[in-house]
Amino acid sequence: MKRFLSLVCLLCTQFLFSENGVIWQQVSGSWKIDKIGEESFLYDIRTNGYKFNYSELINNNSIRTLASFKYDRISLKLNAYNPVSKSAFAVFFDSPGDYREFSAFRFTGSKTEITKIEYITSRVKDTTLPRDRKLNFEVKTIEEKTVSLPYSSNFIIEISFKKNRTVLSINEKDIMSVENKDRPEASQLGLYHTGNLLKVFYFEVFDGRKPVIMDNFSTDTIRRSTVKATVEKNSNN
Amino acid sequence: MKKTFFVLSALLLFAACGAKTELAIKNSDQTGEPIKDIVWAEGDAKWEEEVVAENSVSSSKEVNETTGQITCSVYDGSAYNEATVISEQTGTPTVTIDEGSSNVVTIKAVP
Repeated sequence: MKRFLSLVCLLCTQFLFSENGVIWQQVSGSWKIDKIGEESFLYDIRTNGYKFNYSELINNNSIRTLASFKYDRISLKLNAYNPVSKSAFAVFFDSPGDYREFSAFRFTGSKTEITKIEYITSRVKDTTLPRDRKLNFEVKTIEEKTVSLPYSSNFIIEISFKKNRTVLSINEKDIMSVENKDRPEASQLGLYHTGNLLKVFYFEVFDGRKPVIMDNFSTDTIRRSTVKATVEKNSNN
Repeated sequence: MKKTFFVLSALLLFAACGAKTELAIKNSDQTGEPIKDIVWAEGDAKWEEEVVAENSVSSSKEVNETTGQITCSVYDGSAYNEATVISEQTGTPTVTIDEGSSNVVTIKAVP
């Protein structure tokens, strides 16, 4: 009986996980999961990205969903802290496979406060070129708004997609509403940052009322690229 | 004699203190792929556009850090991601090099 119950519990866990869980893919940075008290969170230990210039995502420390989803609302709680002189973080979405194509709300600021929110798009410049061609992408600001938001504060960010418009709200206040006519049917989404540190407490995605992703980062589901290597050290004085 | 010994000791000490720590990355002959966009110790040294072919050694760069991670870019079939080199011996990404020496670290990437 005990064994049967364990099996049922295991199946239920797997069902719930596959229903609302998500596998994240680390594109750049060094993303980890941690817990303080009862609250777990996703964070990156690296402040700045390396400008490899294959895409905006690899240039900044970024993480994205491995799979594509159909969605009309994103809700997350995050905290940006320890800014350096130029600081930016973004929630990106509508990325239909090619990592150089996405739309995003990008928050930028100085060392003291977040001063601007931009709705940006990233597109491939020349689709005929091979994927290892550097700088073959273009980031454009479509709309922007001046703001004054503090660092080291928790923000509840909601992005909803309604009738050709994308609406950004922060702590339940509408901040921006932009036209967004050609959304892909399903797409990847995620976060990036540079010049600061970022903590994300939950990331939820919905399609109508149906939860698509419900991640409170209680488990590490991040897939990280590694090169397995034998390091041989030869030193000559 | 004493004076000569003192001068020689001083010269040796000066040489030891002033020696640069240098690092070059060798891509082994068993990798099959070139290594690109190498970064040592969170940007202490960057090889930027330099592509290190199989069985080749990168240019040597002066470094300040003697312990760090080696990062490079890899193509995963759909996108270029950043990858950390994990030492098979230790199972960790941390590599230590010798201070004041010309170090060559060989990477044998396992497919």
